[in-house]
Amino acid sequence: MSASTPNLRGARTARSAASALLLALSLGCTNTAPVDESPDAARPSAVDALFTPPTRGFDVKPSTTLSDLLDDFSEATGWAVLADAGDQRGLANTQVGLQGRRDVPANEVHAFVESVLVTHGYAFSLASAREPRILRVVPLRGPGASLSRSGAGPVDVELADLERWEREHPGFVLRALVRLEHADGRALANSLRALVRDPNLEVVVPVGDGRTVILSGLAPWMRETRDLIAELDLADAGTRGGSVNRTH
Amino acid sequence: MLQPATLATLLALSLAPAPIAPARTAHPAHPAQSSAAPAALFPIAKEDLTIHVDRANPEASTTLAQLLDEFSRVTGVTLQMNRETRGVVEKVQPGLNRTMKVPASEVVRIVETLMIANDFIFLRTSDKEPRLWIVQSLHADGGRGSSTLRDQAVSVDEKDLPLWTDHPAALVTTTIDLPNTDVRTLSNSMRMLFTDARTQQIIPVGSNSLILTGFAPSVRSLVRLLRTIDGLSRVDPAAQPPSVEIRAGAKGK
Repeated sequence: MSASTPNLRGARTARSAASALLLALSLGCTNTAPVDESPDAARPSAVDALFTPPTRGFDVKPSTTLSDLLDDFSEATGWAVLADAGDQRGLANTQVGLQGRRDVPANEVHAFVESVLVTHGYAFSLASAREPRILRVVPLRGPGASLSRSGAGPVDVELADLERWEREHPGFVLRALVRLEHADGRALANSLRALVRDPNLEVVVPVGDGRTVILSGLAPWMRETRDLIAELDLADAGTRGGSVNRTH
Repeated sequence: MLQPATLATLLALSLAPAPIAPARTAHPAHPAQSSAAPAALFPIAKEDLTIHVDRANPEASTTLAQLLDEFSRVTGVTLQMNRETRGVVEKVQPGLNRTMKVPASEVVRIVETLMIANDFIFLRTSDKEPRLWIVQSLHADGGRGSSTLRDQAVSVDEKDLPLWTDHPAALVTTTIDLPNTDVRTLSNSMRMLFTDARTQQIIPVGSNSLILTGFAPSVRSLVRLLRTIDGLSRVDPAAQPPSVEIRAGAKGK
């Protein structure tokens, strides 16, 4: 395989060995999330400012419905949950599906509930980020899916926060900009489209001067894709480094 | 004698597109949906509002129709809706999972939030007293009736967008200049993110301007994103353009 067309599979298998390098590279991918300077607006990039720690945990039974789970979630976190009539029926008729009882401690409430929601094809979006605080439940797939739902846009986040979003809030559709140092964004986005499992949910769009890419999707996919982009960008740098000499 | 840099600047200015007129020239807005600060267009409620939710006794829960009646009472806005919309709002609850007390200062924002979550928006037909607003379903006439909703968006200056983010069900149109970006290519790329043709639109104008239409928080978020992209595309005039030399025998020739 030509060095100019990086092997994605090879790049993926090399991920663990190059973790330290990736960390440095992910920091090298310019953090370009816009900064909201208004004092009262939600600061989604500041996870701590947006989500206060839940006051308590709760028990979940196998027969617990998603509606019941969200009621417990509201009691524990103070967030009210909003869903339209169709989604309310879906939530009320869907059981969590655990094999046994599960004690959810306070510090895992968000991650647990959001993971369960995603498993059943739902996500959260920020409806009201200040008091009274409201999270809206939106379906991830189908005609009323998250990205096409009115008023349920993605949360703009900082690239450096993706690990935290993945660990603590895997149930939000996020959006971030990735700045490439070496690779061509259009070619890279074309390659990455093969890895998009749901085009209504996961988005890779090259924009601007061709070295910036918009990523949108759930946090785990965003983090994986960001890391892959970092590898490909690095591979591109290696290729150029062996063949191109910049002079002036 | 002009310096070369000055000449280049003058040339660039002469080739630059003329300042873009407000978006209403491209989209004749509803007469009432004219540009103004939201403080002048949206009343402040005179008292708190409580939305009741009782799972055990749904009859005791607030319906959308009751919420709108309360909204009308505390804000002084008269609401109008057709029979089809009335039929829906009388049966549907706002969709909250718990009772919520809404402070007076937050009434308009929260009611708009609940309306948009149920695919309804307000269209203002009168911004002066007596205020008269229409409750419009995004699915009216099977979606056909709402196809021109975006034409009724309010023209908003980019600098005023932060004031509109407390109005999640307000459709706005704004124009932005992106001096470092080919807006035609950018708008083609961005169309993937514009998923609702009833309420969203992105139109390139000239070589460096874009007209954006959508719900206020979404437009504001996109403007911030586009400004960042444009900033990243800025060419540093101090940087020397590198010449690329391919070494003999190098791969990828």
